[in-house]
Amino acid sequence: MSDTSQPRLALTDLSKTYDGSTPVLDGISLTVGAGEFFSIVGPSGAGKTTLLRCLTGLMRPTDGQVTLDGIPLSEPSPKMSLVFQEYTRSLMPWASIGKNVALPLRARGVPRAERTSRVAKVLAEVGLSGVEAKYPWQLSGGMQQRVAIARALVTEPEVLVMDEPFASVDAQTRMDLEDLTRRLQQDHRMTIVLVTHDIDEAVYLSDQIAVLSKNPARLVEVVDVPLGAERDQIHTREMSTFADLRGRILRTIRDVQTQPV
Amino acid sequence: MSEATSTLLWRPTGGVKLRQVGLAAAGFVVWLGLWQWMTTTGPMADTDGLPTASRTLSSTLELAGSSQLWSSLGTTLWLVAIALAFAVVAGIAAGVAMGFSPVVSALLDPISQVLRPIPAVVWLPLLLMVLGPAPELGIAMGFLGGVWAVLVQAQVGVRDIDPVILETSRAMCLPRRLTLSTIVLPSAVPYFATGIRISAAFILMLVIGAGILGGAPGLGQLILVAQQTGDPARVFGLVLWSGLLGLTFNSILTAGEALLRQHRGGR
Ligand SMILES: Nc1ncnc2c1ncn2[C@@H]1O[C@H](COP(=O)(O)OP(=O)(O)OP(=O)(O)O)[C@@H](O)[C@H]1O
Ligand SMILES: [Mg+2]
Repeated sequence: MSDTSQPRLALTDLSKTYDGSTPVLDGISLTVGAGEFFSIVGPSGAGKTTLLRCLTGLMRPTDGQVTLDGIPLSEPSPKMSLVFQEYTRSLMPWASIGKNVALPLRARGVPRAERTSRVAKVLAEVGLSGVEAKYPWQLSGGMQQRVAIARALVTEPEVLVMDEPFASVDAQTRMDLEDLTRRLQQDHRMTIVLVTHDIDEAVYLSDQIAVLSKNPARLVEVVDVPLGAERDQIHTREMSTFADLRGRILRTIRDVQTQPV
Repeated sequence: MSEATSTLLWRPTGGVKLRQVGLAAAGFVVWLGLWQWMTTTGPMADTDGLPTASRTLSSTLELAGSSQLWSSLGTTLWLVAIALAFAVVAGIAAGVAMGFSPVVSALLDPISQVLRPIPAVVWLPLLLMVLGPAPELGIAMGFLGGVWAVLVQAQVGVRDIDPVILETSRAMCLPRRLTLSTIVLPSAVPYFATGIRISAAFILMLVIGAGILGGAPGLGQLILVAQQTGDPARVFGLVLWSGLLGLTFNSILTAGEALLRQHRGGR
């Protein structure tokens, strides 16, 4: 396989059980191409976070393997960044925003002066210029979420993995953060893996969507989203393709949920 | 009292405070009055070694002008500070190591389980034989009484760290050393503070105790000498000064801890 056609991220036959008997993930195989916006949708409690923890190397799957650029992944890679579902808890309340965002750079041995300038740059990118000296608990939920995103972006990762990042902000902030994420992906040619249980959000943002079932989580289907590179919160959501895809995915999820296991 | 001033006094904010101060003062007056009555005309009059309230009060005030009191207070505080410094360094180092590394925990936990329940005063005869009535006696007693609170709090603090933030540090590929210095230690700081506050109270008690029981220098020794020279009013006065010292000491530590928590948005 040549370098250009090799998928950035590949999961092969991934299975996971926490207690040794009940499978949470069951034989999931999928590939994510470089520069793709890839979403994973599934009902609450399906195992989406479990899947993300396996594919970022935070947790060993019980079976199967994950490769990043063709290399098997057994621990978190510096090429990848993760935005946690519990983003408020993932920020350090005792450290200023500047220190929070700079931490992954310290881990990579980036000198102080460069850290400062890169932190300022990435905070500006997420629309939070000049908050370096503030503390996380002094910011609103949406702003904290931007800080978490900025911290993930500051290392200029090749792959950004996000776990329901917009679940707990208001509708307007949510749209802003969606557009911000999409724009950053385009600007940096990043690969994004996004977990969400909001089908509309998945269709609006993604190039491809993987639909998971529950108990255990299996890959039901992977849906292509031919909505083009430019997305707009009003126009894109009015397109008939958008409505078709949305309906198709919702129907798929309803079907697998009513099917006997 | 006119109608206007009385309603002013009973206003919720300032009024309640004034009322509390008034009640507290009344409590003291009743206590001292009862004491004075008991020891002059009441059932405990002329009991040997029991000073009257008025003599105790005048002796307490007299002590305020005595350079001996102030130098003893200084010595006691100095010994407490040294013992506390040792207890904090040793307690945090051991507690963090035990909380962070299962191997260290398996190694040290049994020892700590055996030594911790021994009441610190029990060490006094042994230490007195080894050290004599020296400053080191106070420091050693204080250390033995205070180190456990810090150690236990440090251990709990490290184990109580939010798993999300630990996982975040793994996802960021932080090396262990950075995880310890930027995540684990800062996250446990409130626990350290609680440990230090509890420990400091123990240490103050034991440093003074080492003076009274073992003749180690400081306030305790001053009380011992007053007792040996048969001056109960002076003993009582010194007891009140010890109480005042403990109260001040504890208020400062509690305020420091509150300030620290405030600085972290209540976390
Ligand atoms: N550490 C764990 N130990 C044991 N069971 C777990 C653990 N983490 C998750 N589970 C179980 O695995 C299943 C999937 O959980 P997971 O958090 O992956 O779901 P999710 O799809 O992310 O849910 P949500 O949409 O609510 O975030 C659940 O039944 C959960 O109880
Ligand atoms: Mg989840």
